[in-house]
Amino acid sequence: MSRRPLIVGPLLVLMAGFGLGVYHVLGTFKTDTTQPAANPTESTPVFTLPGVLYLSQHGVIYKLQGQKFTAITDNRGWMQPALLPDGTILAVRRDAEYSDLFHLDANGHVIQQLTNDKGKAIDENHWVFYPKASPVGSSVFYAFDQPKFGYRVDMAIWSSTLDSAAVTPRAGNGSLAKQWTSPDQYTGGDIEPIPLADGGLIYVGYGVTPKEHINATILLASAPLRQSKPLTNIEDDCSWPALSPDGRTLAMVCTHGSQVASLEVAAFDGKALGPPRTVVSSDLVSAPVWAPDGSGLAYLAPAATGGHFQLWWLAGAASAAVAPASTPSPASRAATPSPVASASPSPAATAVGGLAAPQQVTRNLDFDATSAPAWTAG
Amino acid sequence: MLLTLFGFIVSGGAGAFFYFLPVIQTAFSATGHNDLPAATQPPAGSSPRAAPGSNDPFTVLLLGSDNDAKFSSTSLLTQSMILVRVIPATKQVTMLSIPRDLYVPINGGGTAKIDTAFAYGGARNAIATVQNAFHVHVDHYVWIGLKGLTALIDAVGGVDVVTGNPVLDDFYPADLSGGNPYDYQRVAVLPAAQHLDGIHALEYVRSRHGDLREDFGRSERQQQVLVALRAKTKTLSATNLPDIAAALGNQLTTDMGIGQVADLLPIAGGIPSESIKHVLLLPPYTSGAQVGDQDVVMPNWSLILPLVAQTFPA
Repeated sequence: MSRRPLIVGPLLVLMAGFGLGVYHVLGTFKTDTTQPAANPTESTPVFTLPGVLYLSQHGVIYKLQGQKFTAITDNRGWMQPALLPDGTILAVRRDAEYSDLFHLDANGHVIQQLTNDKGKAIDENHWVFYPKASPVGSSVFYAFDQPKFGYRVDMAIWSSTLDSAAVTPRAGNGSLAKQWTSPDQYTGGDIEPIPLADGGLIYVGYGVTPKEHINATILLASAPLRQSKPLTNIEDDCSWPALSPDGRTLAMVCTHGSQVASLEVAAFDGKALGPPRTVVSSDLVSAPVWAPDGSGLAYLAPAATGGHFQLWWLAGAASAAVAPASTPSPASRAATPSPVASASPSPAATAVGGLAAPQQVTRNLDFDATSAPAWTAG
Repeated sequence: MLLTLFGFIVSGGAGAFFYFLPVIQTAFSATGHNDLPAATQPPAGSSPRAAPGSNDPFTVLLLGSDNDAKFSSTSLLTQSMILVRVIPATKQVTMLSIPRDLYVPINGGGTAKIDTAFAYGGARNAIATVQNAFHVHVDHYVWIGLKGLTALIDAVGGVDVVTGNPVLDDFYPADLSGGNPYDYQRVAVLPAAQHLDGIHALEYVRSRHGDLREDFGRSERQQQVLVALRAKTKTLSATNLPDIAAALGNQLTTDMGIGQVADLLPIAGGIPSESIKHVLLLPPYTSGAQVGDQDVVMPNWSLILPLVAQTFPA
């Protein structure tokens, strides 16, 4: 009996397996930035931050404590967590055509739904975003898409006491919600409120530049519907204001009208900003948040061109801020030091101003860069 | 022994062939469409058209269409028209967005919004209309459909864009979900440097109702996403191509051959973002007007033509 079939058969199987192997191995050479992001609960940070951070990815709010991520919500569109002084959380739950504010406990359980923005007709729905508690936690500030009529949908800053009947800011008589700003029409409006201890408000307003671009300005309002004072120049297109825990330094992201978003800091004396200094000269920075002790800033940025957004840490950012001159409003730019070589290959990791290079905290995740992290000492 | 080795080589080659098969299929179906108007074809005996890869400057017309169920596949409008001038030697690119409502003489007769030129005669007619109106010479074109753009962005793993002001629209067309293509949906693209997948990138480049600058704002956003897409393609390897080819399917056509497309990719990748000039035909280059019951954009040719001539040769 010939032994040939005994050899040829397995060889043919091996050859077919080799062909399949080549097919699959080629697939493993795809660029990393085309691969799906990991689930944070299956990921370990490469750098440990103190305290507790809350971040949003794919509609879930995660708690990062030490080396461990924990999902504290389901995946129904949760985003933009903000802390109250008692450690409970304000958050947005975004549906396809509307969003609502919720008050959650520190473990993500719903204490109270604060708004009900679902409408019967499509244009009766509303968006509410960017919740922030007042420093004493008695009221909540947020961006809400009222005024709205026809094609016009612009957000304005509103505030209410922390009570569901009061927060739902239906315009008209009987509403306990208070409108703080009047947005420029057809610009998208006003967003990102930061209520101040003195009763004032920092926020971002969009307006039209002389060159007919729509850019962001960081503004200061002393009272509802009063004339706001610009803290930055409209040409600098600065947004994402983040006030340090001592209230003396403002971090922000500025594009200067380009597709580059750099992290800048400026001293704040309650009335005006000092000259802004660039602390991360990066291509794409978003959503900065101060450490609870003010020792530095965390922010979101991609680790590679076209990649998902990761969490980064920059130590000592407040030290780069320069005090405001006597009448510098809006702030004129300080001479920005030349960028220094980065210790990291990441495009997001070029620190300037003598600061240490930023450190990448997470890898292969996909944080929502429209949702600033919240950070507490825990 | 040799036969065994040959068998493994053939088997490995077959594995590679099937891996790259979508690329081959798309190369044949999408590229090499001879849609250029006669005026663009080189006369006999003359030098050939400028070709990507030859180091000669060339002009490409990018066309984007709403090819959802509202429109017959043979009468699509072009929601987006961008003239791109590439100068490989100096690594410079100029992108000029043509307003879709620009009121111009359409090749073949009549005056209408420029987005109808494609509907009346495909890429050939759109190119001829642009050439006649702007006094430019178009070397090549690329057409992509709505679903093609979303699929392309998803196939490359998304793009990073600094989205500007909040893009809020209560009347965004809900025409990709398979329901009534005339329905509306709400969209909100919040401002930030962020990673966008295909659907959200499409919302960003397609929404216009809530924007003070309407189609001009949208044109600016379209240019941003194109530049981000170019940046992303620089990071890709050949092994990503089958996903991209499979995603595009019949959603992209171009007159360029596969070799020219291959030559174009390193040129596009080698151009720094700061060397890309963006041009929008805002007032005073254009002005709003009403013709019959239509809102149109009237060109101010005395300003537009000198501007265009600076970059785009006739």
